[in-house]
Amino acid sequence: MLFNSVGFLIFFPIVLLVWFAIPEKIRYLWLLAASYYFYMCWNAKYAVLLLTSTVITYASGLLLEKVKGLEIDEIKKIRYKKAVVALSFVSNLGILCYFKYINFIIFNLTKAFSLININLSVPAVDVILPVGISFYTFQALSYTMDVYRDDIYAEKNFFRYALFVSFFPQLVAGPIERSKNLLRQLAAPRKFDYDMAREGFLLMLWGFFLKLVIADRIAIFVDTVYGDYTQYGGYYLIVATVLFAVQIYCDFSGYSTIAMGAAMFLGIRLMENFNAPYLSLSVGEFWRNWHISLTSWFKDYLYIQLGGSRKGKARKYLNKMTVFLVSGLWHGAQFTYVAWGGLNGLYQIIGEALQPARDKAVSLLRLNRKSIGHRLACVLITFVLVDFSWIFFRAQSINDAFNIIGSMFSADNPWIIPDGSIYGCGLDVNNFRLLAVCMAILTFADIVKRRGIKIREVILRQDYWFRWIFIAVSVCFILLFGKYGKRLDSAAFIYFQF
Amino acid sequence: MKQVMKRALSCLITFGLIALILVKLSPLFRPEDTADCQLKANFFYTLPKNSVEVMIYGSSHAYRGVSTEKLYAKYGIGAFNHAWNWQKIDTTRLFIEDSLAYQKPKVALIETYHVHAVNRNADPSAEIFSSKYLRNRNAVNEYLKNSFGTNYKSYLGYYLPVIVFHENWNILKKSNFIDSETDEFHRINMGYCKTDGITVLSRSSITCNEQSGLDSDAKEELEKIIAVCKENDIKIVFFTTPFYGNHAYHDVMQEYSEAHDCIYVDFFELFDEVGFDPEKDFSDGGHLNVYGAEKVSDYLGKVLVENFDLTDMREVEGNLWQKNFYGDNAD
Repeated sequence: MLFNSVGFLIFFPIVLLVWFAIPEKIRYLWLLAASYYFYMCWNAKYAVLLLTSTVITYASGLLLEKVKGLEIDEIKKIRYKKAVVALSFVSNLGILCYFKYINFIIFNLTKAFSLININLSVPAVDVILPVGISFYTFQALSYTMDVYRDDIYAEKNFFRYALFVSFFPQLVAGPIERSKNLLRQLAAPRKFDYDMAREGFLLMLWGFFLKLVIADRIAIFVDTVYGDYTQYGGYYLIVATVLFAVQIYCDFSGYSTIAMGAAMFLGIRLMENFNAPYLSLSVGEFWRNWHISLTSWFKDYLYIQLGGSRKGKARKYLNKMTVFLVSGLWHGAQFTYVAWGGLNGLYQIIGEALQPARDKAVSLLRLNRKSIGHRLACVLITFVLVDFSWIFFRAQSINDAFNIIGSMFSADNPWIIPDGSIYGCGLDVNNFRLLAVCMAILTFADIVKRRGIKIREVILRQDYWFRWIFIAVSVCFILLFGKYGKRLDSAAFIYFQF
Repeated sequence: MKQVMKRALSCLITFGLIALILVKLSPLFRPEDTADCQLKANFFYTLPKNSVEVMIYGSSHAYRGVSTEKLYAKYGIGAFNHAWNWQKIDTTRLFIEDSLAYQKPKVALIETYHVHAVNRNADPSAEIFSSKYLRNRNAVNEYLKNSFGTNYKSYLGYYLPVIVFHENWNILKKSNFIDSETDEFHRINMGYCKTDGITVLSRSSITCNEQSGLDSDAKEELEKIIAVCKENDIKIVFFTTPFYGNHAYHDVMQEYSEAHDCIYVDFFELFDEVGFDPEKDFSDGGHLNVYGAEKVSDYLGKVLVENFDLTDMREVEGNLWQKNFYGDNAD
């Protein structure tokens, strides 16, 4: 079930009404049932995988707790605990690997063996990628690690834990929640909070605006150009690549924002997944503000485990590169994602390695790092670097990505913008104008957010008549200018495929 | 309790405002060209009851292909062109059933371009939306039920076009904002749409080489049309105007007409006899222009006067056609 579907517009109020009507103590059971229904709307069979992951990590949590209570020597205790964690990780990642990477592994092994003249004829496995498997697997694994690290106690109530793994607002595309945040909130009976619900409603509106009005509108242009990049070369690709950066941001942050809003209706605060990432002054800062829940997951459970920055510079760089390559692979079983991750890793390593030289240059040239001009230049450079990496993310293959880059660098058709040819790729001039207005709103909202101002709080402080008109006009604006079909069917979120 | 009531009221007012805006915006966003359909329908309902002897039904091929003026001027036939764009055969049936509450024609001229097609499990379209302007609500409701099935989203789009046709924001024109209550165009042409412009076609591209049959839904619609006409003692003349491409239903319509004691006039078959000029008589690939329509109307008029006992309206003083075509003072 998509957030941007009529089904969800019926499902969500029903869930809310029943949740509101039943006693607080059993509300989590209702939410668990609703979450499984939500998930099973895609493919009922795959709920078994969700349940399996839940059972394994739940049991591992209890086991870890039991080991902690054993009166044995500390070294043995740590060994047992590690064995439990390993078991949880191997089984969960095994499921993830099988459903997400098996064909990728088979294909590349076959290819590798063919290089040394060994012909392997392993048939491809007929599997469908379960929606959200990467998200809930990582969320469940974080629980195991948190119990292992004594950050939390193991959850005794299986149903409550199952809700933590399957909580429908963030089940299929995050934010990847931490047990410290979500499980603790689920532990206490949730009450309906009118002010929170109002805030949640505004968040959902913002999320729908990002997804339906901006992301899905840009998608038309980007899909046309990238779908036939040999025909649409040069400046078409440059514009499409710039717009894709906005599309993926609005698509993914749109989902996260709707998830946060929906959860707030149920009295739950999910973590922020994006914090105006394109206003970052460096690639490192970008990653601290982009898909925060995944970046912090990798930092906490992989980067630090690998030694982080504690074992020298070379090791630190290696660890960073490992994290980014794995992060790329997490997104999908394609080398394009690995290349995208690797490129971002490389940016950070080069950025850090060149830091002393950059500092020297700034001081020699007497540049003011706090000036608007300098900051703007940093934002632009960061955007260009990040956007360049998106080419690999969006392209169908590495080969395509290089062809696209080649076409962009040999661009010789700048007239497509003034002569209006650009309006022949699915978006006419009015749609481009609308897009420009919406992107200006987005930029304003991001700048304001970076300054610590929450627009929704400002709106909610206004007089009742302003709030009524604002909400009514916003809803109508999204309905009028959103991209959805005659059957009220709109595009899936990009991150569903991960 | 007071606070809960206040909050509930606040929510209600907000959703009420949303509904109000959407309802008010809906007429602006209705499908393109359906505003004109409303004007034409409104004009049709102003005609004196049971004044029309020949009603013309069908798609844009009939709307642009049969000149009521020619039928009157040459044969004295009092006809109204009740055809409208896009019509599949079930929509044509709806228009027939709706119009019979206001007119009891002697003959129904039914154009068959979309005789094979019916709306089933359909999205709300301009064609279906045009039913909104008809007054026989029972017939319209049945039509919607058949067209949409149980797809509630389609009903939503039909009653709240601002949702389904929201992309129309991009094609809004001044005319969308201005309500025109009367429509001279339909009055002075008695429903016929005169089309200028010439598209040159080649004779060899206007064929009926490949023939197809009708599916059960289309047959059922035809049966219902026959039944309703029989019930009202209306004779039927099916006809097909020429268009670019292959006309696949000549054989089936010929057989069907013979079996049901109807006349079938196929202008594909009569193309040379009627003297169509593929280089002059078409406004585009699908439609005849004013010259082509004259030829169609001339031939149909001859068929009508030869086969049916129609009043020569030219001899009726102050008749509707004389007034509408030539004005009150014209001879």
